[in-house]
Amino acid sequence: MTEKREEWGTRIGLVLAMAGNAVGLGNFLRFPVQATQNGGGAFMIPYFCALIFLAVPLMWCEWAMGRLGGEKGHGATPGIFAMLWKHPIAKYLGILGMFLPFGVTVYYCYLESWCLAFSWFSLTGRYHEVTEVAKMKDFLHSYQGLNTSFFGGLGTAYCFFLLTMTANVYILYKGIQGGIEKLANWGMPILFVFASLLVLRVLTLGAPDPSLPDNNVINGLGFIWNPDFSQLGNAKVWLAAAGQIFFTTSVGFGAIQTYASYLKRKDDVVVTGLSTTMTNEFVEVVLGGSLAIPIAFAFFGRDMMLDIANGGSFNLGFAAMPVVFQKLPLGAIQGFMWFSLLFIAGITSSVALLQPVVAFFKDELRWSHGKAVAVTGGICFVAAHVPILGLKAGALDEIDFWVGTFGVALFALLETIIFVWIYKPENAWREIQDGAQVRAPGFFLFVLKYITPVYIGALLIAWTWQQGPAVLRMEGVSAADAAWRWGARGLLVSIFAAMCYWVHQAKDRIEEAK
Amino acid sequence: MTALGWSFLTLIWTLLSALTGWCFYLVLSPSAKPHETALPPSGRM
Repeated sequence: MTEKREEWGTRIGLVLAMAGNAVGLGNFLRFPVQATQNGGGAFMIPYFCALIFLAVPLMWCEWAMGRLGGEKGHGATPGIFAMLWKHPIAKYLGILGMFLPFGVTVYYCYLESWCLAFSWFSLTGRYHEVTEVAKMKDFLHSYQGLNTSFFGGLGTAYCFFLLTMTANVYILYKGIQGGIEKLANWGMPILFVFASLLVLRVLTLGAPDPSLPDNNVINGLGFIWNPDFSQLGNAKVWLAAAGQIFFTTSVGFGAIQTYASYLKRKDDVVVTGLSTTMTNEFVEVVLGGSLAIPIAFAFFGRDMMLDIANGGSFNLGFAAMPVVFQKLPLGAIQGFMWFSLLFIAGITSSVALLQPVVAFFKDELRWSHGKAVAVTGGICFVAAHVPILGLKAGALDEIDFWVGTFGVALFALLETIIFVWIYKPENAWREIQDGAQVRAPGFFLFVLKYITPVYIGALLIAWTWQQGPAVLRMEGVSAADAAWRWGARGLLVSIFAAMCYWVHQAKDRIEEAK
Repeated sequence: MTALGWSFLTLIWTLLSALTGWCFYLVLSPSAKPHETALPPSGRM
């Protein structure tokens, strides 16, 4: 007999919390850069194919798996996989569903703290003397402790990191309804309002410099949306679109299963799950695609915009955007809104990524809520020092490849095989449809059985092929940097080994509760 | 922006707004109570 687990308070709270899980920094920073670099409007064709054939079926699987696990008192994938597949190895394969989200938070909380810091700097005018993109990059690097032009060391960044970690731990400590749901109920509407106000401001901007009429917002939108159909023949574009869909919808991590484990047995997963995915897509394509690129295009023009976009997402968000806001009336407020919405997008995701480990400690090891949160937060805090101190050496990139690229594709393939093929397609489909407010079209059963696994398998092979050898051999990495990268690998191995030990400790409980 | 660019933007914004709106309408609808579907007995454990 399992004891009463926590539950979501309201359905809208659940939708906002799940949407908060999916909506992250990538919606506002990564998507517009990816679209611009991969065929503009034409990018949306492979993007929507990946949404329909990859993200939506996987999302339904993860919701259904989570609800099934929660019914039997399992909130993390070791227990859930053991229920679906009666094989001793299943619970160990499920470790990936705790390891990957936890591994991401090891660096994600630090990135999140940059947003909090820059929202504060916007209000207090800390970067207001910096009016060029190149100088603003220096400002960001100085904040990260890479030079001393603006900050004497890492002290400021570390304070904001501590604040961010404290906020994450506090929200987790307050629980599902009192912490995560409340955060989503307040945070997500604020995010929508801030993003919508900024989009309105962008769309009414016109051409900021009358002497350069071509540098205007409409041409900026064209920079993203004008389709280049010749790019559709390029496999790289299809991979980039599938990758973006993967990252933005947060499938393949194990975090969705944990949130879904707090559903009631007969709660709908089809419509509720689709609502969260569509909310994420609305925020990404309609709001995220209308902010950074169009406004930066209007201020800097096509050539510089290409440079900025090719420099990556953080270049756009943390170097170009603060400069743009300083050129606008009430720029400090708009800068505050921009970085605050990024922070909200970040924190609603990071609490979701930490929750699987908290749920495992409580459900399988029978730890108290306070102990589970304290140990999870404590390990994350200690581990985060590797990406913080080894940022310049690429420790963050190293962790990101293993957990954020290779790991998610591997886990998504595993969970699809276990849920759809080992648990049997008819059982998986019944789980998805049970309690459905509107039934999922039967066509998706075919997609789940054949298209989704092949799609994920192709992604896993392509990503490993493209990036794996260079990462494994540490090409172009100096000896000093290699030490940090090995440190990052050692950290990941240690976390995984600790999780194996905990799962081994809990094996009787996991197996008896099947 | 080209005519094709406008067409893509209009089509996708409309589609996403409509789908998101429909989903929220269902989620917030007073009749949206969880219910059992007429499914055959589950193979769940």
